[in-house]
Amino acid sequence: MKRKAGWGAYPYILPHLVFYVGFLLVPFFGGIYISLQRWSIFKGQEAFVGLKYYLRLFDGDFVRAGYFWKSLWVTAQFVIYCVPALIAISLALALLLHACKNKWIRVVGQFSFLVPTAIAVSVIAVIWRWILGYEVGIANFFVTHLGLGKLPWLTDVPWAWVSIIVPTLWMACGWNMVLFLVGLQTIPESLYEAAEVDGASPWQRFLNITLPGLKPITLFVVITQIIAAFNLFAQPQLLTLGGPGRETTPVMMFLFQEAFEPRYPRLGSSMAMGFVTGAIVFSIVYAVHFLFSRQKD
Amino acid sequence: MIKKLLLITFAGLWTLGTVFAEPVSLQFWNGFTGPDGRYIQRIIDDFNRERAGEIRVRMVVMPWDDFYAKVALALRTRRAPDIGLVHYDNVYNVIYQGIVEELDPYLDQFPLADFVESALKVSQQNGHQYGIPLDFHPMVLYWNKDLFREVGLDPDRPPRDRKEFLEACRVVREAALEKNGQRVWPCMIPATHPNFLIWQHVFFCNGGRMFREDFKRATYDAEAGKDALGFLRDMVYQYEYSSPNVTDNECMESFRRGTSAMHINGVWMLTSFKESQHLNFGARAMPNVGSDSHRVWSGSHTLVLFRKRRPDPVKTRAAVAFLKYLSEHSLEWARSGMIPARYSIVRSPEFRALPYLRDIALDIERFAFPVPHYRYIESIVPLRDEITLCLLKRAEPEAALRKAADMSNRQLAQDPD
Repeated sequence: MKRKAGWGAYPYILPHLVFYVGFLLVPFFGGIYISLQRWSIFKGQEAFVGLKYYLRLFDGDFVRAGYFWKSLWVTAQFVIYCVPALIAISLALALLLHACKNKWIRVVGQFSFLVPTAIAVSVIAVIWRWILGYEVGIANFFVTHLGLGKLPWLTDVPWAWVSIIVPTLWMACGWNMVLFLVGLQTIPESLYEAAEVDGASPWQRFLNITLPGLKPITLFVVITQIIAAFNLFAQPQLLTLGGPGRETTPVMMFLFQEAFEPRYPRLGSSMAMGFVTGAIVFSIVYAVHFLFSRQKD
Repeated sequence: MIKKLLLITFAGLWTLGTVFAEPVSLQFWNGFTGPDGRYIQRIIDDFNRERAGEIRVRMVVMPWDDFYAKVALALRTRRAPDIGLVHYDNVYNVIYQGIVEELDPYLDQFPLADFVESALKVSQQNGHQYGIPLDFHPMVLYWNKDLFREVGLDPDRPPRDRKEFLEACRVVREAALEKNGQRVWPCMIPATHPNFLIWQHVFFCNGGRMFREDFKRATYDAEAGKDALGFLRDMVYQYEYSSPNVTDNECMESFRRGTSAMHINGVWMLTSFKESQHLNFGARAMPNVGSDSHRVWSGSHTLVLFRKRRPDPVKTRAAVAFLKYLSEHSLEWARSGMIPARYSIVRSPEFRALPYLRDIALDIERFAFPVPHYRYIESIVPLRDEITLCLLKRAEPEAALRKAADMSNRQLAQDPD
């Protein structure tokens, strides 16, 4: 039997609709509109330029296009380094806590891993700046006691990458761990019992029961983390200032600079770069989604 | 009849009330979030007291990082700021964006001859004046007097040229002191900001010019630039007078702790160093470490009036009165560690009683700024990057500067938008 929804259904979706339109659709289409204009935040719309800002991104001679692609590559590197590590660590922590029989250890464990998630990034950056200082940082104190030379954690690559990634992992793994814990709780205990009766080793149980059972939640974590990693901004802004040179200037930091920082605001150009970035992120997320759903059968 | 009379009286009183009782309220926006804001606030409080019932100025403070974006957005609303304070290197941008008022009609209220010319020039374009300079913040050489004494240098005589500077560094290095298990360095050169400003200081002392007069080509890759960059790099790697890879923050901390004998930074660090206990130091405008005449890198804060969508002459007059007051009372501002841009104040006995600043202001005629141009900030981005890479030994001075200049030139030939 087919039921027809009357007009009475609409008020229920109204609150969401208002926010969806106000904070997603309007900015999205407004952004596209701005990206086709020469647009200064001081003067507003100045002139229609069409696809100029998009096309010149592919002009190898255009200096700021070079900066843009460089920053995109920097961000891609961050995604490659960070997302797999983040998932492995969060999953490992979740498995450990899940396996722990003592309720108190579980609660305290969850809480302590979640705390960094609740601290503002700026505070985290200040803490890590002290840890990672070259001359008197704690990290270099241990490094020199191991008989190695001091490491330029904040000023030179590849160490600057370590300085951005480690605090990010520390900050983000708690949240993902909780998601994995929820996922683990949805896997029926009976499957493990049956496998144990059949003589499956712990590793086999992990591979054949836990991992497939966690698939939906893993997909969710991977996608949200890829998006979050593409939004990288505060850590390099506060820790390495995007340096040395532009080695750790991610795309969001560059877009911000393009739009506001040089005090020569280029909203149109920045929007165009933002949409190109958005299209790339969307393709990656779609590809990940496709890969996960293909493996199903 | 009585009703009518009453009505007229009420209406009259109401008009009078709105005209006379309501003071003109002005918003003054700046980025002094630190202790410096307190000093400005004190001047504003005095002004509000003096002009009570007439003008009321309210200060709105936000971090400099957000300042320009917020101003830009606020100017499109009805609650736009009236007065603002902008950096020397942004004055041309705000002029170019058309968001500041020309001050020419009000200049007769300011004794222009009393202002230091270099600071006044920062806000001039096409013969028009767009801002009133408030202060200078020059590059300063801080030295630790106790360490100088310990290694046998005269604690009251800082180095005055490159030779003396390198000699002082050598003496400190050879003394091989240690404080709390930390090595004492002669003078730290940061691998991050403000290394570019330090380079620019040396470059100015070498007689360098950043860009060609018409601002179409970079000229910073000339000999003056190469020498300046080579000098800083040698400080770190050849002579080992500085630890490599140190950030701005670490350089400051190192000086504060007494593990660097000298420190190069803006005058803005002065208040913080003064508040450090056990730090006995001297401060002078950065000496001539170049090969040409002595110039000192300097920044400057300039007061501007924002252009409104609906100009209000009453408000503008009130704002000019405030600019005048602030400028005349910039001695109070000097106490926050800045150097007023007016001779009458710098030469006043009250200013001369201020320790440190008095000495730094001795070189006020040598304070120098880069060429003001609205594309200046974007054009130096490649240079900043390359200087950092060079100080990390990831690039050679000559090649680094050539690469940066090439990028600047290309950028200047391309669309500004």
